[in-house]
Amino acid sequence: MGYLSTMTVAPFVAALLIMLVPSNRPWLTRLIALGASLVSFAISLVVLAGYSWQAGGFQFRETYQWLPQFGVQVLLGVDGISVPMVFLNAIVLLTGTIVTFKIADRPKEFYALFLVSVAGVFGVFCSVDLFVLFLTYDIAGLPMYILIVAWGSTRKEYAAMKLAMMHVAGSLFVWVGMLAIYVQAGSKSFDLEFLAAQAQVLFPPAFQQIFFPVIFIGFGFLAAMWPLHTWSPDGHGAAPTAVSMVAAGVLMKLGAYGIIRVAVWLLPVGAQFWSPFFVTLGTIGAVYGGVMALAQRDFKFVIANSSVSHMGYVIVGIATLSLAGMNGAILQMFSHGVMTALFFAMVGALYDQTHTREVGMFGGLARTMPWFTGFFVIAALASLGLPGLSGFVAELLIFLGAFQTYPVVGFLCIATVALAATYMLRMVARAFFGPINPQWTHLRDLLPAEWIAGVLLVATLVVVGVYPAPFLDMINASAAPVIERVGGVR
Amino acid sequence: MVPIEHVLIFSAALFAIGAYGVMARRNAVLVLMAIELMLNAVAVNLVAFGTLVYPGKTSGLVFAVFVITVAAAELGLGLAIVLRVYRMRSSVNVDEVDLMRW
Amino acid sequence: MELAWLAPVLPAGAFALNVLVWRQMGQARHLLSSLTTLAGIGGAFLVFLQVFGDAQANLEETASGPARHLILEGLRWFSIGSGGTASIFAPTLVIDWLSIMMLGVVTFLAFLIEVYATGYMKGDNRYWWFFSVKALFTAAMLGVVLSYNFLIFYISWEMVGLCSFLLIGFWYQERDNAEAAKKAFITTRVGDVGFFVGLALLYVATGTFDMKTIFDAVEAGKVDPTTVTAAGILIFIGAMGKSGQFPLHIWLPDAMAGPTPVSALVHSATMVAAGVYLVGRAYPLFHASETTMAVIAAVGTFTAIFAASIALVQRDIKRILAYSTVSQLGYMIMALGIGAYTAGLFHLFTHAFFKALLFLGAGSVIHSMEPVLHGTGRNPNDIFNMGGLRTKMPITFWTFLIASLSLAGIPPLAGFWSKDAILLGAWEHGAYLPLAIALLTAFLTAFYMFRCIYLTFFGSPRWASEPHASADAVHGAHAAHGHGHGGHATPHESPWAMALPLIVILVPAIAAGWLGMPGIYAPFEEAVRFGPVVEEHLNIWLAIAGSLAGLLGIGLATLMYLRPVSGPRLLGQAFPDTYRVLLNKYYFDELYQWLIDRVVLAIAAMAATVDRKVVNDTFTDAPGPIFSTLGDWLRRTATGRVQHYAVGFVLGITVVGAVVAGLVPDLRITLW
Repeated sequence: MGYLSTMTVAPFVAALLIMLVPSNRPWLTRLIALGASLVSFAISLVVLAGYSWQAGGFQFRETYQWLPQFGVQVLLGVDGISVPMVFLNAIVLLTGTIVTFKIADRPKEFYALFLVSVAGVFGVFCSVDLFVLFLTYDIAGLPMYILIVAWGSTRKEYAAMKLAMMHVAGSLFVWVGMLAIYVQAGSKSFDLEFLAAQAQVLFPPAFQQIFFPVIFIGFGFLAAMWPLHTWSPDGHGAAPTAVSMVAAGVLMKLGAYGIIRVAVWLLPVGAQFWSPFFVTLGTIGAVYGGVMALAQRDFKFVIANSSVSHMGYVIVGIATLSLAGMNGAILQMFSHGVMTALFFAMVGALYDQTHTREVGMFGGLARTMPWFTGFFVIAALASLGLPGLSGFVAELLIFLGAFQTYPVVGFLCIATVALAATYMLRMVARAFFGPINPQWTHLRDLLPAEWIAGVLLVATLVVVGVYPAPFLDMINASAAPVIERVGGVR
Repeated sequence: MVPIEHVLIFSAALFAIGAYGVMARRNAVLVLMAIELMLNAVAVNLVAFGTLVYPGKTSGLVFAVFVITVAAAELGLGLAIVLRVYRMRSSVNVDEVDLMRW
Repeated sequence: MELAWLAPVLPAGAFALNVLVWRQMGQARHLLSSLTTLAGIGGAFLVFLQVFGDAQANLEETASGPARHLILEGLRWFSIGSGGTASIFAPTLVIDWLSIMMLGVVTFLAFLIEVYATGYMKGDNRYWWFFSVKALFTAAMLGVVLSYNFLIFYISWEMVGLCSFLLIGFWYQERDNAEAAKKAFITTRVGDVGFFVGLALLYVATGTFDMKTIFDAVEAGKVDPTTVTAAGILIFIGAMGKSGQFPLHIWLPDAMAGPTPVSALVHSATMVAAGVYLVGRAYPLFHASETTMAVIAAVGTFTAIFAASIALVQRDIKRILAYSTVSQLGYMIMALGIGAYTAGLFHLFTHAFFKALLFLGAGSVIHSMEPVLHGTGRNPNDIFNMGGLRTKMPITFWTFLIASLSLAGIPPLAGFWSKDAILLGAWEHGAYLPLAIALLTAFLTAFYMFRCIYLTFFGSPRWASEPHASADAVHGAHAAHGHGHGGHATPHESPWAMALPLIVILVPAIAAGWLGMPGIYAPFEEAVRFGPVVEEHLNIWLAIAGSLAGLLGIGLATLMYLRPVSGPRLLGQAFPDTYRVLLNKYYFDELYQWLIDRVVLAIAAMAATVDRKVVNDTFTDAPGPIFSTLGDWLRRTATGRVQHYAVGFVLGITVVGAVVAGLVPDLRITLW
């Protein structure tokens, strides 16, 4: 077993073990989950440190035969695009596990499903084989349905159904595109590297122009691309804390990752052809999400709509097909993942005590909950693109990429940043500052587990924001060849 | 020796009659009998191809015996179900047994 | 000089130490934090001294022009692309006389104001946090001052804005303070959108954020003139946001909600001057376009007179000073816009000292009024609740008076020389309308400052008794008519930690102008300049006109406010509408509030409804009914009759058989 397979399988094995644990031993469940997430986290650190950007390409390779007669192999490997994603997933897994320690309701089942989902995410980020990528993509998404229905709040049935249906609908598009690629290539191979290398020979322009949007839209469902975003507010709003963290922090990135890895990488001609269209959708999403967030009254809805806005930036960054934009989009995926995980961890900490998330119900929480407020404000500042936190560099690069290709889009995106400042600070000023609402004077500050999770996430935001070079070198090493194939702006 | 075409035409006819019976008859017992006809058509084909492709070997015959055995078991099961249905509904008319409907 | 990078790093280190280590120290954290911050900023001041001494000997003429630069290449922050086409984002610092001047001003004032704050903030339960943020602020401000790369400049600029947000909202328990902090951040952020768009345009045109490269490209005409104009105006919008220029001025007076040392340092002397500094720093860009310069001059001129007119009637002592700051910043911007580069920055230099002094004086007054008015519900900031403090607080009074004289432009104080330089610049560049408005503004400035002084320090004490019917007010819009008993305490001079900085800052408030006496001794002109050295000569008529405007203002204020208080009532009654409009600051707050509530939020609410009803319920949920209807139809095929299914089997087998037999063509897509 290599690094990547251990990292991917560890949560899965833990899920199986947890199902064998008697349900009157919740502590054992927690211990196993924590152990698995620590293993995965440690390996992700090894991968992060061990990936050599000078060498580039896929590293930490592993190959296993599965169905040789159809060309299905388990090919594992990570490049500069997936290393940050793997690290993101590991940190969300770890922090999600930690903040979930407190749940009393069926922890065994919860952890089992949670770990399966996260294992699926690792599979997507680590696989160099289209078939396995697709398979794990579905494994990652589907446990969400049960997690939301069983442990959610508010309109959980509706939200869970919508998430599941939209995920499946997206999968359908992706599946069609994947089979078309497989059949068209005709070489009985799902090996992404092989397909990409041969793309010019295998995929004629007309084919690419037809199937690029199919795959893009398919992954766009999970990436919350406008107008396929509506699962996001409902889903995040209804989901329990750790599930929100994974859904917003990581699942949305699966969509964007798929777009880069499959659509743009394999079908460069289609990418060029469709670039203006998807830039338009991305821009609409960015502005629209921002405007929507202004009108929300619920913490989670504000954050979910801001996620739509931020994922709009990601779509813009990818679709401009510029080097700066692509680098920025990938860094934005990372930074937004960490930031939303932090947001939802904090909202969860509040909701557990108050059972309401109505922003207007609060006031002056900074006095009684200083740590909570501090972490939340840092997340909000990262969200509005404050320099020194990771969001700034990412957005800067996306905007530069947009300006190099579509200046109007660049302008709209930057204007949305002012909008982000408005909705974030409205929320912060309303709920945390001002006189304290006597109804909430009894609230306690963060639990130790929540505090540890918060510190981890904040540290990541700050480190990447202050010194992004190592991350960007890595991302750049793998994004540059993609952009070169497309012939995008350097 | 009988030409293979004759045997095949015979078994195809037998199969078609059986299929028609399965689709068209209303009495459950007769439906089961029609199934028997189809199975027998298959058995005939197995014997014919067995002797044609591997002359002197008995694999085709063995297969046919298997089919007959399974057919007998299946008929036994089928008739038992028919009996139960008759007990419950006083009818063996398959039109009236649509419990598996939407 | 190579150590200049230490200047921002030392306070930043102090911040990190405070937040990461001292915070855990229980009550000791307060003392430790304040000492660490003082040490950090003091260290930065020592760096300034070193750089200053070194620069006098070692600053060489560079080839690119008369400006003197010494560029310190820093670390690579990050880069994208590789090989020859890589775009590298690296911090670059600049040491020229402009940055050295600001380095000195910021570190000097920050240190003294920190000392002052040790007294002013005593007993606050978040004392340590105050000093931590002030350390971060100083670091960020020094980043703005020293960076020679637009990206680093922008980053520091944003960090400055963040610190301003945290400091305005320092006493966040009051709803108004939280709102003011939010307003400040968002308003400046609107300006920053313009700034950033301008930077992006420049980046696309030149492929870099490095100022030197950009300026060289602009001067060499390599950048499209339209881009230069557009980028110039957009970047100037950023400066307008930070420096509170019309129409983005609304946040600055509200920002007075912060503790007074914050107002003194952040919102008068340094941060708000950052906008002016930006105009000075990016002058080659602005200067390359006539349109940009005209816009800058127009905005500056209008703001100068506009804010001064509002200051005439304000009641809150800090708000008077805030509008005065807006007005004076407009003065500087105007000077830069009409081409009087040195004069604008010279005024920035002198203004920092006397305005900081004024704010510290105001803080001292408020500090002593607070216990007096405690429990009466009367606003300790309101000058109509003061009076007669001259004898109670002599040090505060005299420093405040001298600083006001300096602001009013009375020779030979600092303000006179810089104001005179601006008037002279306007005269020489033929900008006669700005010149006239500048003179009028000078008159108004002197008037409102002395109105403030007379009401605060002269006359009968109004804090001891029941509140008077306020002198100016027609409708008493702002008056906090508390009916409690006056406090028992009397105002007294502030502790030495607060009084000493006043005296120290008094020195440059008097003498800073002596560095720019045209024709007599003017090292400032020689150092901070754009283009070749021009020998300036004192224009005696302009000097007299300027001083006269100030004296007239003082005279009118004396007539109206020295004698307890009847004249002003007449003024208020004579022009009630004008008075009301001024008191309500031309209703700009109301206008923006209306825009936000009725336009922006309405649009947002509408969009939210559309999202729910149309995008979600109609489009996203639409497949639901479609498929359930379809399913309703399809399920009828499940008749439950085995024989129907059997028909299906047979048909299916037939199709499969046909495919296997090759009767249907290959399914592989052969279209292309």
